[in-house]
Parts: sequence; structure tokens; C-alpha cells
Amino acid sequence: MISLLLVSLPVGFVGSLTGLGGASILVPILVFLGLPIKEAIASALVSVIATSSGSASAYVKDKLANVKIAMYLEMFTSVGAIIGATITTLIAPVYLYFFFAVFLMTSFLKLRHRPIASSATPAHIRLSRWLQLEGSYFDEAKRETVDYTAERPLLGGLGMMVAGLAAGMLGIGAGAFKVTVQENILRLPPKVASTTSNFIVGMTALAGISVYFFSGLLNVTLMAPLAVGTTLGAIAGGRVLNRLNDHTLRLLFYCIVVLLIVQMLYKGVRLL
Amino acid sequence: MNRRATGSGETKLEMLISYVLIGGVITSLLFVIAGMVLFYREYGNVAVSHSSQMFLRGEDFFLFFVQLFRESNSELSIRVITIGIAVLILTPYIRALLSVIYFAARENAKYLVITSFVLVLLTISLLLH
Repeated sequence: MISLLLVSLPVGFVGSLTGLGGASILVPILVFLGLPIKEAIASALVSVIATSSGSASAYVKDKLANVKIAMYLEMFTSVGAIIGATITTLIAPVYLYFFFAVFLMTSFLKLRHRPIASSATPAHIRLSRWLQLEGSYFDEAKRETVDYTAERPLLGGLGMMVAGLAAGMLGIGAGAFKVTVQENILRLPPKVASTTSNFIVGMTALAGISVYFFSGLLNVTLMAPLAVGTTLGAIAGGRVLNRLNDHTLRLLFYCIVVLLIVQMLYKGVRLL
Repeated sequence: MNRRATGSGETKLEMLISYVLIGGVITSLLFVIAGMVLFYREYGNVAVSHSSQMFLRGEDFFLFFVQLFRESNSELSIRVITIGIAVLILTPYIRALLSVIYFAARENAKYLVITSFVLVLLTISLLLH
């Protein structure tokens, strides 16, 4: 447990710095250390609740995360997570390595993203207004209040269901994918998208964990060091995030994602 | 300058959620750390074990949680760690429950339905297998 605690500390730290989240890095490392992939996925999901709840608490207090938008989207991510976790318990482990590698590739979507101008028609936002999917926040950098309304709530909901499915299936937060959906489909401001995503991640993880609990995949001696290590690492990562420049973070992100993809593909191919 | 509230003044709910989340995580981690210390004292090491008693499994998560405080079949360290993990797992659930109560009290029918959907889904998934 001590070695896992020591491994998960830097994992939480780097996961927080790169925006990948601890579990996306943790699962491939646990697999590399020889743990069964289904056990690694189930246990990592518990650390997702710990890291996301800690940071979401601050974002909600700061009024950056939009609680109503989060609660609306949780309907979709929870359903997706239960389906995803159920799939994991049923399929052969070898497929999970490839699914994991493919999903890590979607992390690059977030880096390629450029803000898209709103093209909302009244029909796009009518339902959003009815669902009260709107809000405002004070942007410290711009020194102004930003008002926003979510667009295409049904399409955004479907996108979030896919994110939930991946999260439940692979034991990760799928934060980068959730942010991409919120920015590109719902057209939420980046700060609202990333903080609201963090808020949703915990609930999504719980939905997935419920399936793993009944399947007997939650190992206490594995979950304990992972939860403590990734949470403490994420807190430390959050503190130094603003001191690193974007170029360094981007380079770190690319190196880690590529390494993880190669590792998972290698493991998967060996098992074929 | 102060930030302005999102949407239509859910400040009380936001504060409540914030306290539930951070309270749940801190309580959970304290139990887990205490359990790991006890584990070391009981076993003389803190190695990852794959024996069947180390895996959480049950038919009803709520009953499983209550039984953690009643029966003493497993070692104290395992029970303390399990309580910590269970508190962590239940933290988002408590948040969902509070949201339903809040929107019911505010008579916001739309969000009462939305939050109830998530709560019922989670309750069924934790209860019925």
C-alpha cells in the first residue's frame, strides 16, 4: 500500500497539472504493475470521487461551476456510467486495453479546440431557457461579468452520456471529453465548462462504482492508498498549476498521453 | 471585487453542497489513513492483498454500510478503511439527496424532477441487484 501511495501522489499531481485527472494515468500504471485491469478500473473510480469532490467543493463555493447545468447533465452521465461499468464486467479484459487507448486519444480534442462563435438559433436556446441552463460569473482576468446560456441541451446531454459511458467503463473521470462536449456543443465558457465538469465527475463515478460493488471488484487494500495519494497529489498540483507556463504543461500532457497510449496498446496486443 | 452568483441565487445550495463534498472527502480520508495505520499494526506490513475479505461486495450497499458498524467478522483495520471508502462513495449520494430536498423546499418542479431522477437511479443501482 505504501508503494501505491507513493505512486499515486505524483499521479494525482501530474493528473491535476495536465487536466487528465489522476485515474487516466493511474489505471495504465496499475496495469503496468501487474494488477488485473478490471480491478484497476474499479478501484481507480473511487479515487475519482475523492479528487473531484475536493476540487468541486472550491469551484462551487467560488460560483464558477453551474450547479443547475451540472444536475441536468448528471442525468445523462449517470445512465452512461451504469451502462459502461456493466459492459466492463461482461466483456473480456483484453478489449479494455484498446478502449482505454482509444479514449486517451480523445484527450487531444481538448488541446485542438479553439473557441467557437455561438451560432444558436432561438430553437437551440428555447429549451435551455425553460430548463434554466443559464448563468453568469465574474471573470477575474477580463474584469467583467460574463453571461451565458447553454445551447443544444439535448445533443449536449447525449454527448455527456457517451462521456459517462467511457468514465464508468474505464474507471476514469473523462474530464477532458466532458469539457469538450460542454464547450463545443453546449457552448459554455471554458471556465464554467471545466469547473462544472469537475462537479459532475463525482456523481458519474458513483454510478459506475455501484456496478463494481455488486461485481466484487472493489479491493480495499488497493482503493485506500489510491484515494489518499491521488487526493493529496491533486491538491499539490492545483497549487503549482499557475506557476507553470502553458508550453511546459502542453509538452507534459503530450508526453504522458502518448506514453500511456503506447503502454495500453502494447499490453492489449500481447494478450491477443 | 466579488464574483456574482450564477443563475438565480442558488447560493445556499451551493454552500451546502460545498460543505458536504469537502466534509465527506476529509472524513473519508481520515478513516482511510487511520485504517492503514491499524492495518500495519495488525499485519506488520501494508501490502496489497487479493484475499476475498479485502473485496467489497454485497447485495445492498446501504445495508452493507450499516453492517460495517454492527458486526465484527473482519479485522478492525479493514472495517475502518471500508468505512472511509463507503463514506467517500456515499458523499455524492448525500449531495444528490440534499439537492432534491432543496428544490422540493423551493418548489422548483423542473429541478425536483431532474434531481429526483438522478437520486432514484443511484438508489436503485446501490440497492437492487
